[in-house]
Amino acid sequence: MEHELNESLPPVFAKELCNIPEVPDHIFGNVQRTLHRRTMVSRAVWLAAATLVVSVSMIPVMQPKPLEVSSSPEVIDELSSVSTFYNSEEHSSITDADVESVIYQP
Amino acid sequence: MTELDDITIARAKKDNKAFKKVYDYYAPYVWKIAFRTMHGNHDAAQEAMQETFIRVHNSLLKFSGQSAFSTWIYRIVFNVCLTMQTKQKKSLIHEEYNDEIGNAKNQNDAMDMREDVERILASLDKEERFLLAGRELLDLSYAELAHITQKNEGSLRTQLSRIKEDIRRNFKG
Repeated sequence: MEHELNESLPPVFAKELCNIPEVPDHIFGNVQRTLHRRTMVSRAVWLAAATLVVSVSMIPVMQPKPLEVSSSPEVIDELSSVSTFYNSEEHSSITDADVESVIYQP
Repeated sequence: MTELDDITIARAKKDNKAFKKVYDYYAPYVWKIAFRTMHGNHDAAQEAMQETFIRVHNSLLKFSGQSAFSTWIYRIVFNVCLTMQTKQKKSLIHEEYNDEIGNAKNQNDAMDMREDVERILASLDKEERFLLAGRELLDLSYAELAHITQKNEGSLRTQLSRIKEDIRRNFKG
């Protein structure tokens, strides 16, 4: 016992100090409800955060990719020769008979 | 004080029954010290006790066993009480338990004496009331109080001695 004589309180004061009501019954219920509520809020926040992260990470995947056209040098040559042909005088001098002779050629 | 067994304490985080055991065991001590530290304000003491056990539950995994479990809880009570804003300063102590008083004269005397006690306790700050309650109600050692308040043991002895000296001087009871 560490109490020393010169440290003692007046007995009446000490008695009154010890006069404390009983522990209220409902406190444990309040503690449980608060813990439950905080757990629910915490879960909701985590769920919202996880949904947000997943949604943001899905944006690039969901976006349609622009069509990529790759052309080999041979194709480019062919296309340019077609273009040149259509712009040339040779093209304008072709008659319907020429076309039919090509189409109906056995 | 004797402590609750380690197994129950270890289970308390996940097991509600174990947590209830922890509550039932320590609640009377926590209530005493919270009630006195909050100067007999019933609502404030309840709020402090509630917040204490919520923090106990949330921090159970952090309890390292370096101190007694009760000391660890008292440290939480101390921090909660000191940081809590007291909404209602007037003590409700007279309204709460007044039933043992008999005739009118005794009632008046008892009320005067209680008012005197209340007046003296009101002159102390929260930390001083906590120290007084810890020492007088829970019989905590100076070493425990030093651990709880993170103060030097020697200065605590001096502080408590001064508090008690002031009480002896001012109490007319």
